[in-house]
Amino acid sequence: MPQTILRIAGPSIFLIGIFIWMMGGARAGFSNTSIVHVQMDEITGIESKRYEDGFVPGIEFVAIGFLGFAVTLGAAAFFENKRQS
Amino acid sequence: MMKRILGIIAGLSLAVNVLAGSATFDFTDPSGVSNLSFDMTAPVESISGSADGISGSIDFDPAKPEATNGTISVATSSLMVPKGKMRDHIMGSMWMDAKKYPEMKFELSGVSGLKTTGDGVFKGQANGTMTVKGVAKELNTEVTIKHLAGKLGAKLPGKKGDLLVVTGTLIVNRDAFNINAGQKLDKVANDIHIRLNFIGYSEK
Repeated sequence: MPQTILRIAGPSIFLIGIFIWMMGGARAGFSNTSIVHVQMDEITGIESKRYEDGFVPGIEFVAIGFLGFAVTLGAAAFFENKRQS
Repeated sequence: MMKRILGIIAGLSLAVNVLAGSATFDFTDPSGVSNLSFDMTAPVESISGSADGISGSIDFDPAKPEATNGTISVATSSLMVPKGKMRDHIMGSMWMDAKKYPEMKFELSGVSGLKTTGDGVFKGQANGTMTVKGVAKELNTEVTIKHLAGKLGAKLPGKKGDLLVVTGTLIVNRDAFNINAGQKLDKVANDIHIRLNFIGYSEK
């Protein structure tokens, strides 16, 4: 029974990690703790950046998701071996 | 007839510019648009940020743009990057040491090789001294100076005067200004690509 739950949980964790990463814009970089807004001043033509507090998830969420996937699948295999022995 | 009228208008326009003479432009930008932005390449992702704590003044005469001179300062504490911990590192003593060196300065002594590329738009080499972390270096960098005569009211409603937009790009070396010199070169590039986007205000 636990191995069935773990087999379902593994891919789910990986998919959640990918989903969170995509919500942050699927960027190659790590998570940001500020949201950057780029603005253009119409009179001078100058581009400026505004920083607003906010979390933008980065690529480490994919890595964490994959790690969770690997750990849960490993645990499922461990319980399966234990049950058979 | 038409040519004569256009000639008179052009002459009057030149005369107004000459009579206007030199004006001092304050680069403390109340609209918060002025900024210095920077990029440094790194293996995983480039480090990009900006600073908006701009102040200082520049004397500019549309009839003698080559004599443009003044000082622009950037508050070190206004440097921003999208990652909080990275910003803490940048403010630290190894990198910018914001407590000991609260500002970066560029003293402009003149502009050489000027070319007029449009109405009130000049391109040339800004000559001066850049001081970062207490290290002063002679610097020549390409800049564009845009004189927006009578446009102050567009930025500051109810006020009359001119705007001066100074833009340019330059590459400075971390080692040259003792910014974590010789360290972490495998993680953060030695070259810092800087873009200058400054607005000066002159009330008449």
